[in-house]
Amino acid sequence: MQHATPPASPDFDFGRPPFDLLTEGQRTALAGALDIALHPRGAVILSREEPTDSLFVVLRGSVQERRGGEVAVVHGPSDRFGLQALYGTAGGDGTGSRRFIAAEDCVCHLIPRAALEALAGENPEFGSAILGDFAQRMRDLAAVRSNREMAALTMARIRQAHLHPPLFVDAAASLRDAADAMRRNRASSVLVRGEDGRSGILTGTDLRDLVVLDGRPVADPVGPLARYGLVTLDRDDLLFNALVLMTKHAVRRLVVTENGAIVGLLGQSDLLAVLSNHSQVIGLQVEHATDPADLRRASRSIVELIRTLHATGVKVAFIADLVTELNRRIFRKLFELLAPPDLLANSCLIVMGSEGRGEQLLKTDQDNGLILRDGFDCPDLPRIAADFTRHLVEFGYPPCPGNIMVSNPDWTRSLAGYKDALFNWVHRPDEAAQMNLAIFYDAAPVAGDATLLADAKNYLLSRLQDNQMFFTQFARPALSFDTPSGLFAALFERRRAEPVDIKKAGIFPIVHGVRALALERHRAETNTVERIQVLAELGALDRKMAADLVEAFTILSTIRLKARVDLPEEGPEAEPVIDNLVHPDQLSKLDRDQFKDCLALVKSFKELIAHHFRLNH
Amino acid sequence: MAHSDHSDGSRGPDHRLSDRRGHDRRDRVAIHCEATSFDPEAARPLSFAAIRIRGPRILTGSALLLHPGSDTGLAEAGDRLHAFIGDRPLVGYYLDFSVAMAERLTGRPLSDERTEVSSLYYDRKIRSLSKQAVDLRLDSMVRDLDLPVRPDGAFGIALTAAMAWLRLTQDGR
Repeated sequence: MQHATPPASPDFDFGRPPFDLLTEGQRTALAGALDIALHPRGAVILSREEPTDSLFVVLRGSVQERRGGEVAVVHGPSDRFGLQALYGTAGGDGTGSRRFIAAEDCVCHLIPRAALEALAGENPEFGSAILGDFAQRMRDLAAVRSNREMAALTMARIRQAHLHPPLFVDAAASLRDAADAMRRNRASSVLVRGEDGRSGILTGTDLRDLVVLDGRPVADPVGPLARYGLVTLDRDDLLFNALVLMTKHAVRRLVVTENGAIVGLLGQSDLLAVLSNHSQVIGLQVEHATDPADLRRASRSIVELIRTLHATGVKVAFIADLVTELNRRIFRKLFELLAPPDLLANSCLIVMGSEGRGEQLLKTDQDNGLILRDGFDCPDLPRIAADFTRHLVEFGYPPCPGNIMVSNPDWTRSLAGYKDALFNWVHRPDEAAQMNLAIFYDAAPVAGDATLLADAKNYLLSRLQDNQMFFTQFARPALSFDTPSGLFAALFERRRAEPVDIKKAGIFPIVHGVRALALERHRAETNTVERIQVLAELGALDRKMAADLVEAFTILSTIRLKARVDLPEEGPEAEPVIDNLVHPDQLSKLDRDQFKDCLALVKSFKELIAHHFRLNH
Repeated sequence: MAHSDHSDGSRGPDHRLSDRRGHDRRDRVAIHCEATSFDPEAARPLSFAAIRIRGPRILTGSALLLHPGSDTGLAEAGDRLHAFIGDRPLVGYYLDFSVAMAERLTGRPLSDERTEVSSLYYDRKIRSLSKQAVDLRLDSMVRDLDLPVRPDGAFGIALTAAMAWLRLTQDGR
């Protein structure tokens, strides 16, 4: 506008990220620079022939983004498009045939390039949000969300917790000196300066064991007795990460560093003071359980822990790590409680599917099995296996609908038996065999002798020839569910706001596509993100695609978790219902934006899989 | 400022009269005048809005809004309005009144190629409604054409006219 006036133009949606990052003044400047375009249904809004000079933001109607002949994305009100056209090929090559078509009569706001760049220059946060590529855009959106939902509790840094000052003794100091230093400083451990510059730790428990139980002379030097390889975290790390590390390493204190130098010790009790409903508590309950009833209590509190962590904005990947760790401990402890020592020594308890990949967020169906050493026989096994499954059901882990559980003799057999089954799955593939193979490839050991599982997996990999037909069959399910793209047109029409099965449309295609690529490369990793990373290192996946896939996978998992834990609680004992349906019209704008981007990415990943494994022939 | 100024006459990037499909590609200008009465002989203009239309775009970012006699002198307002409109075809709602006010202000005749959007709308509706009366009120048009705009003030009404013109002329309807 040439004169300052109350803008009568249609309201621009400044609540929509990243525009909410603009200051009042910047909003006024943007509102004044906007043009408006009207396109009738079916009109080409942007195509390769027409270089664009503006970013389009839909005000009314919806716009289809077509690649090749296919509709890749539908943009509805407040969605923006045309940035790739503005700044070259952000989507990589092969997007030359991208066109934007009005799916119905449309009105769009146009932000002129000059205005956009001026704002990006003035407001770098806005600039990077709007100009960054897909992965960057995702990260920014996620950060905005965790800012909003941040709760002091778990976003707190280690810096905010009480640290015990480090108490050092020299390697030459005696055990008595160490005990004396602990008493004088009322500390429960000392740090030992090793001769080679490394630092070690010696705890009160270590002293008791060494002197009282092992009978070592108190004059022995601490140097060779301390434990090196300290578990450390930086002072600026999240308290929550400290929790994960303690759980993972089953330790009660962490060494805290700053710029690489040791600045203190963070004790479990210090964390306990900060985090009340806390995983270490559950971990302790598990460790100290003497019968399945104790485990049941611990297991029930996991659900509450997940709710708390999620509500306080903790990243879903951390939650998955923690839940995986706790679930596996529960399984291990239960098995140890039920199985006699000779069974423990001669078998390997495995978890498969999402448990094996370490990606379950809530209690998902049991997928477990037992591999027995060849020649070992345990007459009591059927009863033990049935007890194991029964207890897990009691704990709230639903039975596997496909009956993939230790109580099923098909999944409790000798190593030779597993090898026979693997041979059949590879060489006589049918649908069930494919599925068995897929979930077994994801297996991870939980209790007993892990080498039994490693043996079975090595056998599996050795049976895979570079047989195109096999992989074509194996990869095909990645395409078996449709990934909707017309969703958002439907959404904005309200009348057809249909829920989307996020597992089938988004998560499963990523998991299975990545699994097929990993199997083809004979990789041993089981976690989807780890597989993606190793595939990128091997050059089997484009680095940008890999980074985008990891982001999309994380975001889809977050939305899925959210859809589940947001369900109303029906009582203290109520388990969140397993529900994979996402109702786009109930998502926040932010989630919907991400959801849309993720589904578009899944769609192009599926194309990649189809091409790589020649699924279209 | 982040916006550019297109008000300096007729040097638009698009001076071809028609594109390769034969569509009229000239810029047009939607105008509206708010005044103290509806009698063009006696009314005193309060505000003028003028907005260019180029292809499917309405150049709101470089629109002209004048309050002659308050923020701008009468003579200066006339010169600026004339420079902005030039000889471009005009679009408006109740356009005769706005044009009469504009010509009185600028002292020069404007293009006689003029499109009254209410007539366009009437022609369109009469085809489908036959004998029924057509509601030509601006609010009703906005609702019926589903335009995302509030037809308030000179700027709002000029913008509404521009949108209605595009809707009614696009797609051969």
